[in-house]
Amino acid sequence: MFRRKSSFGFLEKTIANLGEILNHADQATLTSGEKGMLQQLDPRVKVGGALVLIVGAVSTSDLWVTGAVFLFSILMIALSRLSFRLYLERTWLGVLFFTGLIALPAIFTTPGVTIFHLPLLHWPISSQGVQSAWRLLARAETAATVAMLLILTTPWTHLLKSLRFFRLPVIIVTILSMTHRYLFLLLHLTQNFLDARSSRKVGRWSPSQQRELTASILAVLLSRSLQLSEEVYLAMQSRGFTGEIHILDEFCFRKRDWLSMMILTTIAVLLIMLR
Amino acid sequence: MHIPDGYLSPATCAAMFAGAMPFWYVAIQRLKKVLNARLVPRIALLSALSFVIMMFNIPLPGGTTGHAVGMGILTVLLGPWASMLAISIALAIQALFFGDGGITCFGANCFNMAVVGSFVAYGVYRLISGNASLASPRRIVAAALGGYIAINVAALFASIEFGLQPMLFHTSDGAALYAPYPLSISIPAMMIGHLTFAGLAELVISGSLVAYVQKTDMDLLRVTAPSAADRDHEVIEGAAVNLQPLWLLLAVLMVLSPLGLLAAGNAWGEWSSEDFKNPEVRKQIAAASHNVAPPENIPSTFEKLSQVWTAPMPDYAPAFVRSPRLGYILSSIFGSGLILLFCFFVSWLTGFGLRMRRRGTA
Repeated sequence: MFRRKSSFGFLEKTIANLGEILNHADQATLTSGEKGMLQQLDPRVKVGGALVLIVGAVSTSDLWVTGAVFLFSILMIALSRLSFRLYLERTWLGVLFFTGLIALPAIFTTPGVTIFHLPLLHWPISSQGVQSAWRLLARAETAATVAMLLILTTPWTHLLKSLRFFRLPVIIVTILSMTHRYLFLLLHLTQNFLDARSSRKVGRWSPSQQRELTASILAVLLSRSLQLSEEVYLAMQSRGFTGEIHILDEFCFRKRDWLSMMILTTIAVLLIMLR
Repeated sequence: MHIPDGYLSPATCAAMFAGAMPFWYVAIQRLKKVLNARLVPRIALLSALSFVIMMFNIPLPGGTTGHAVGMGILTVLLGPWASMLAISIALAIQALFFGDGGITCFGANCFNMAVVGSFVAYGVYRLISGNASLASPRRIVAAALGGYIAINVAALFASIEFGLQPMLFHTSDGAALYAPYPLSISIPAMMIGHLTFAGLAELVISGSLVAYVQKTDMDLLRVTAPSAADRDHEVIEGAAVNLQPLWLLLAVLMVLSPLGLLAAGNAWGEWSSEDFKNPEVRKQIAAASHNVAPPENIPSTFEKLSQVWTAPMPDYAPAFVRSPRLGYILSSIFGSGLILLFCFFVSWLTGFGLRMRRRGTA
């Protein structure tokens, strides 16, 4: 939630953050259009399958089961023609760094049987601590890998439609899709603001100047959001919106979907039994 | 504060989902009830704004940066129920589209940031802003503090969820199955960062955006302040000051007054003449005074003056009450009642003076 860094990189860091998100969205659009195995499946099967695998990987206390789910995900990555490099950059290294940082002190703080002493500092490393840290890391990596499989192989619109199948209220699906659509508009707008400001910047800014800039950008964004919401409202009115929301639901199960569902059900049963 | 998958046990995740579910249900029902087409795009756009706010590194004093969530400003502009939905939607997009925050922990993340965050922000905002006018600087302070306290309470909830994991879910030899740190580590670890960096970021964003709205479109603040006047000098006829939260606070404090009994011994310097005669209490006085023993003979004036006035309720308990707890509560009711009577009397006197003056000028 926070990080220390020099004041010089404040704009650049935020621009990089935004760029990363926009890149991620572009990448997801491209990969979900590939002719891989998961891309061909019905989104409802994928959502259900991802939930089964994540809950299975998280709930088991057996690391072999978590490992098996991870290997299964690796197989799916290959069959869905997704890039391992993309996974390494976007998921595995990020989770390793973030969760690793959180899990590392646990190997020293967890009481238990000492298996090693850290050279020079002589801090004891306990067997229980190593197990705890390793388990946390394995679970987080596996769950993130499965979640990214769903994200990278399913177009957002399909994902939204499949949420209706899981009884999510129509009004929420509508707001979700609207939020997603205008989110990118706001992100592009923010990136333009920051680029424009950054190209006119000479030297360093004091923290108070940075705060002023951030507050003014967010104030303009707020103003733009409210103005946009009025425009969208008028557009809805002009198209005859009466408060009734309808969305197209045209998914149909094919043979491969039934087969995938059977495989996933088997995996779910196995996970429950192994638990 | 976005808890990833694997940090919380499935039982905790299910409990947190169950905890958030009634709030979502009520929020959706309220949204359907008051559904006007204007509200749907407004929630969507402000939800998108909350997402963008989370992306910003807010520069803070000391060369650090923090991330805000936007719970303060969203609550002020939408009210707690709609704000709860908007933040939940931003969190859903983060989890489902960007893989930030776990899918199994979605309920916990929503409960902490959307439910707790929105309601705490709303409570603090309403309590501080009271019936101040829409243009009042008090609203800026109220929103800023609302955001600050809300993000910290949300972080406290998250840290408690983390801290409960090793207590409840571990192997037979003591290895943690989920988040490995106990409450003694998880609470300070989370709170230090939020009390300083993230909290300040939320404070800056909430305060500055409310100040901006006051200048540009003040009516937007009316959602959470329906009876407030536009400017300080305007008085809305019949708009009474809402004292309900203060009465409630007074009642809670009265009920909590027996907490004073938990303190052992007397406060330093508040000894009676009887205390100086009691050898046990003399020892305590000496121990509390760097081992300097109190004088053997009590000064005569000390004893005389202590008898000038005898309190009707000595030691915070009327003589007929045996239970010290009940005595404390009765004393607090009696004391508060006397103060309120005095205040009513003074306000009646000043009101009487004003009425007489008006009659004189008429």
